[in-house]
Amino acid sequence: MSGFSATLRREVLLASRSPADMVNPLFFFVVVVSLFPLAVPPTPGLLEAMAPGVVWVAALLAVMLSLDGLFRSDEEAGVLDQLLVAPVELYFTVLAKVLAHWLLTGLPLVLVAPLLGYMLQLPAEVLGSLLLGLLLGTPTLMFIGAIGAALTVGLRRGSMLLALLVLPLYIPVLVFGAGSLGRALEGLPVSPVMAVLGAMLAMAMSLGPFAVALGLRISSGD
Amino acid sequence: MSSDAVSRAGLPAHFFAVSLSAGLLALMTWFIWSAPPVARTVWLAGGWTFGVLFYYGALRYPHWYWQTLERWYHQLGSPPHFYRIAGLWLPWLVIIATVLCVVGVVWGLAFAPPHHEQGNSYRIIYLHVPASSAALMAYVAMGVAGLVALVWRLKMAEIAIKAIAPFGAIMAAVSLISGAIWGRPTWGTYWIWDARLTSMLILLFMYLGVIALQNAIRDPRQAGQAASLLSVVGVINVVIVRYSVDWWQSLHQGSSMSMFGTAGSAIHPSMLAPLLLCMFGTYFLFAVTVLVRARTEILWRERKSAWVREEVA
Repeated sequence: MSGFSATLRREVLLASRSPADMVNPLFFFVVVVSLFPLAVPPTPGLLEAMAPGVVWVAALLAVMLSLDGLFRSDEEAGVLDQLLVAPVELYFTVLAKVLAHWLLTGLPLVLVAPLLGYMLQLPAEVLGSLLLGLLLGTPTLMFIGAIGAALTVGLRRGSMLLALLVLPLYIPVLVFGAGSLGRALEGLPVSPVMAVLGAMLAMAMSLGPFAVALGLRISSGD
Repeated sequence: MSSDAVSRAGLPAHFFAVSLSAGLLALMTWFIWSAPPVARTVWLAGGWTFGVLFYYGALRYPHWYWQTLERWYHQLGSPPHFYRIAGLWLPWLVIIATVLCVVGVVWGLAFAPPHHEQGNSYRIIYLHVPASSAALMAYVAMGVAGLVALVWRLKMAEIAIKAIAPFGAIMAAVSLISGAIWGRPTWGTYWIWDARLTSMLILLFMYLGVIALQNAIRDPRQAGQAASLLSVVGVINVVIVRYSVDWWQSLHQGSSMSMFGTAGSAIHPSMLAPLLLCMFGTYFLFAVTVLVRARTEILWRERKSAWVREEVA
């Protein structure tokens, strides 16, 4: 487990040295969500009906774009090769790396979401389920997307390919995430949908690093 | 560095073995449990007979079993052998596929009775159902090949994935297009965001992802391994996608043919017979396409070796 805490510490330290990388996905999320009220006619109720889809698709794209650089800088600096030969379980190193990435870019995104929901004229009662849904959904997106990031790490123009690989894998999370908010808007109980989102998180978190580690070894030509 | 996929991913081997066998056991139990009583008896009896015979044979003649397994592994895993064996099988497979498809399509389009509600427009199922089934089956085959390629690093399994992906993508596209043409007169729309249609569309996207990843990586072994991992992840995803989109209201009619369901088959035998012919014909077409593509890929990959020079000259 020493690899876990060491990687976590290193990631947080690196992020504190270059905070811009941390802020960019958040900025992207806010800008994309604020584009929609400008593009859609301001009919009452229309924005509210679209809000679940808009917030979730924007969060999904922000997570995916932030993942493009998850392993790239490590690969360019040669750190990735060191991680691969290091005498610690790659599973836990990857787990720490993705968790740190979520803490630094995903969590701010989740925390700012209620504000954006308010801008999209969502009633205050559903902001809690928006927050909880994103809290369970964004780490799942991180772990799934990390598989794609690991497979495309050495490729030039890999970001387009990353989108092609990862977006179909994101669909279940999107369906249940936006679905939870939709149910909350109709006044239905959201706990069953949240349970499914939680189950997906448990599965992505336990099996995801396994696939990511394998993907990194494949990309490094092992 | 170890060549074993399990240790490559940083987990002990028994974790992998235990979870895989537990999953398979659970799946089989569920299948047998959900079957109607008659089918349950048949499945259980057949399974026990097969199992007892297999274990009796394995205990009695362990060397023969082991040698046969090893021979298959080496012969099918070695490109020159596979090339020759596939070349021997191909003419027969082509004949079977042609006969089944031609008979099935002519019977279905010209001789099967019209549907009492849909008239003649239902006849598109003789194209639509085999294509959908082949698209799903090809993805599962790709996942199995991917698992084999990851665990044993078999070169032939990587070649198989490369051979299967375009066929599956085309079948998914045929299924979507034929379904749209049928949907217009029957449902009144070409496209609707229904659970089954959406799953098939996502399946098409996932095929395209595998093809794109394969094309992006220059080294063929590395491309094969990456595509293997993506196909294995994709198989898990296909299952989850299926259940998550079922969560919506579904417009598509339920499956009319069932091997496990409680209702049995809801389609009349006079319509079912040509449909089954078309489906088996498509499966043989799948085998033909995959073998031809695999043979071409083998020739390309081994183009510098002596046996290919002899073969081509």
